[in-house]
Parts: sequence; structure tokens; C-alpha cells
Amino acid sequence: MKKLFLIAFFSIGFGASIRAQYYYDRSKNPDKIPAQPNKPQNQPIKTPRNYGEYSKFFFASWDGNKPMSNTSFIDKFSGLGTRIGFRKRLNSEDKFWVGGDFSWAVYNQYVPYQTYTSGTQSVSTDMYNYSYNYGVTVNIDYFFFPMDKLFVPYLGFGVGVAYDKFNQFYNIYGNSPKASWGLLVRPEAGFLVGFKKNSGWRIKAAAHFDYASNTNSTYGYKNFINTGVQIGVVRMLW
Amino acid sequence: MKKSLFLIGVVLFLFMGCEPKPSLSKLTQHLVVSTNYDNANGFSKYQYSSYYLPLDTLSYFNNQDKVAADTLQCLNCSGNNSQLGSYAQAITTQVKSKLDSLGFSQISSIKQNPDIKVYVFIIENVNISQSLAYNPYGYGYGGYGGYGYGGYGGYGYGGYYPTVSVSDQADLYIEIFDLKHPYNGKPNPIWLCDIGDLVSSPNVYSLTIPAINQAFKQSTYIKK
Repeated sequence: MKKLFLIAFFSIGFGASIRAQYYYDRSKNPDKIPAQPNKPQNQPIKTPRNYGEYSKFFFASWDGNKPMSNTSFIDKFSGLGTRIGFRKRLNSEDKFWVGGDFSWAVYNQYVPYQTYTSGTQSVSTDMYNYSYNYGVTVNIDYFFFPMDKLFVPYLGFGVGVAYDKFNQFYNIYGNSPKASWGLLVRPEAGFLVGFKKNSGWRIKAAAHFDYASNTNSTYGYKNFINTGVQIGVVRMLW
Repeated sequence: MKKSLFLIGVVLFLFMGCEPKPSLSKLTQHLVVSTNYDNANGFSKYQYSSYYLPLDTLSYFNNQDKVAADTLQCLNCSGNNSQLGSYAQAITTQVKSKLDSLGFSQISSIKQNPDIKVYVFIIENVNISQSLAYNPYGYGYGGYGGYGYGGYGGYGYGGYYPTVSVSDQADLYIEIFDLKHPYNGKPNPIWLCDIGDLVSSPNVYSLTIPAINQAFKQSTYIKK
């Protein structure tokens, strides 16, 4: 009985050491994994989306502006404006984002009926002054918090070109529109706020200051300066 | 990414074409009054006391009018000479009122040698153009510069459609001539007033009278 117990003990022990040696030496003899018919072995395995690592976003905003230069032509706040743009994360720091904006704003002002005299000629009329402003900029934004936060404030800076067109309308008459191109510089400060943490949709709000070097001698513009606020929606993407 | 850039390009294109303008009803609340004068002669140099202005009549020139002889408009006229109805009388009466208030005396006949003559006329320019335009979607639309009416081109999509564009504009002119000091043997124009537009402005009757008053108000040099 004692002999039988010893034989059984050594048999189990020997078998275990063989199995242990087999797993220890796996690099020389890897496990063979049967190929799965619907998933080629060379295709990378998709991992679940990491919602904390958005890499770009698009936005569309309402843009309200108040002109600050040549206010004798137009000084009224304009709610007729919009801004669209995109940003792409610059690096894994999740702080600097770069992209581009397109902005559109229309300013107008009613000038009550009055008489204008030049030399021997006098003209009495009321009129509407209009300015159509377009801007295309490249932008860089610094976000103070990672994008997975609910509230992310930022500072931004954009530089690009501005195309402004000025015109006057009175009765059925009007002057020929005068257009000019200029350099546009636009610092801004704002924030993104999500509907929940890591939200794919967010609200963007910002205040900005625009300086454009556009000039127009007919209407007295040496530049076009305005401040503005924008509120819009942001779509975050991976 | 290409899709995104394409969408951005489309949006840019749409916004570039979006330049709103004030509505016509807002623009035509007042008539534009423009005056000019001869500062070398005229009121700044000479004294005038009498004027000739045919009451109830004014000349009306329409570029679509094929009969040149019927330009005279008056209240009691008939046919093509009464196209303006009482409008002609309203205008000349107001001009007379302003000149009288400035101390000038009206002379009923040009033969009585007045100092100045007041000539009132309206010029209306109507432009009608018709063209054939290809429209791939079945309905034509108006052309440039006026009101357009789409044409009907039959059944199906695509085809050439006639489009009609109409633009209409009329101005009232009041001109004063110096009869005492002719220029090259002809009456010398010393003051011109242009009031418009008479066609697009609603209630042109009620707008014309204040416009005439404004013409004299901004011409302070017109005095006896």
C-alpha cells in the first residue's frame, strides 16, 4: 500500500513538472490560436472609443458685433452674423488646438432724412448705410482644462484676411459698392460647456475683438474694428 | 476630411452671396431732393422780381411714348394729355406757392417779359427687355434690374423660357431760367431741382409736396 502511494505521488509530481516546463518555455513553443474565420489575424483589434480623447471639433455660432471704428458711418450693434470653424488637437497635451474660422457679419444703420451740401449742389434724403464683412482666419486656442471636463475655458487667437464691402442705399438709388481686403487679427476668450461630462455636443460662448486693416476713402474707413460675442454649438469628434 | 472641406466650401459660397439690403418700402418713405444752381450768375448776382409759370400744366416725357406732341399734361386735358390727372396741377400750385411766399410776382404771359421762367417736367424711363434663358428646372425667372416674370415653357424639365424684365423710374424736374440775361441767345438755366423716384415711392402725391418745399428750403439763395 505504501509502495502504491509512493508510485502515485511521483507520477503526479512528474506530470506536473512536465506541464510546468511546457508553459515556462512558451516562447519557444507558442500556443497555437486557431484562426477565426470572420476576423483576419492582421487586422488591428478595435478598442472601445476613449471619450476623453477628442481630437477635433466643428462649431457654428451666432455672432453679434458692434463696430468701433468710423462710427459716423455705422455704430449700431449688429445681430446679423455667424461664425463657423473647426479645431484639431495639436498634441496629446490636450491644451493647444489649431484650426480655422469663417465669419460673416452685416452691419446696417438708418440715417434720418437730412440735407447734404457740396459746392452748389444739395441733396436731401434718408439713407441706409451697409457694411458686409467676411473673414477667414487660422486659429490657435489654448484650453485651460482637458476636454473631458464639463466646463473648459480658453483663450484664442486668429489671424487671416478680411473682405469688407461698404454701400449706401437711398430711395431706389445707391452708390457703387466699395470693397477692400485687409489683414484680420482676432483675439478672443470663451469657454465650452458640455451637456454632460465628455459630451459630444457642447455650447460655445466667447467674446472677441477684431481688428481689420481694411480701408475705404469714400466712406472714411482707415480700418475696421469691432467687438463681438458669439454663442453656438460644438460637435466633438475623435 | 475632404467631405468636411467640401461642406465648408459650400457654406462659404452661400454666405458670400448673402448680402441683405433694405426693403423697398423702407427706402421709399421719402423722395430724394437734389438741387443745383449757377453761383456765377442767377440769384447770387441778379435781382429778379417776376416769374412765369404756366399753372396746371407740365411736360411729361416717357421714353415709351411714340407720340412726341402730347407731352403737355394738365387737369382739364384729355387723352394722353391727362395721364397724370390732378398731379400736374398739384405740383405747379405748390411751386407757385413757394415763389409767391418768397416775394416773387407771377406774370400770366411770357409776352409780359418776366425776369425768370419756371419750367416743370417729368421724365419717365421705362425699360423692358425680353430674352430667352435656359432653365433646367422648368420655370424661367426675371432678369436683372427690375421685376421679372417667369415664363412657361411647356411640359417636362429643362428648356428655353422667355423672361421679361421691366424697370421703371421717373423724376420730377423744376428748372428756373433767367430770361433777362440769356446765354448764347437762349434762356440761361440758373437753378435745377430733381425729385425722385416717383414710380417706386408709395403715395407719391403726398410725398411730392413736402419734397417741393424741401427743394426751396435747401435753396436759401432763391430770394427776391
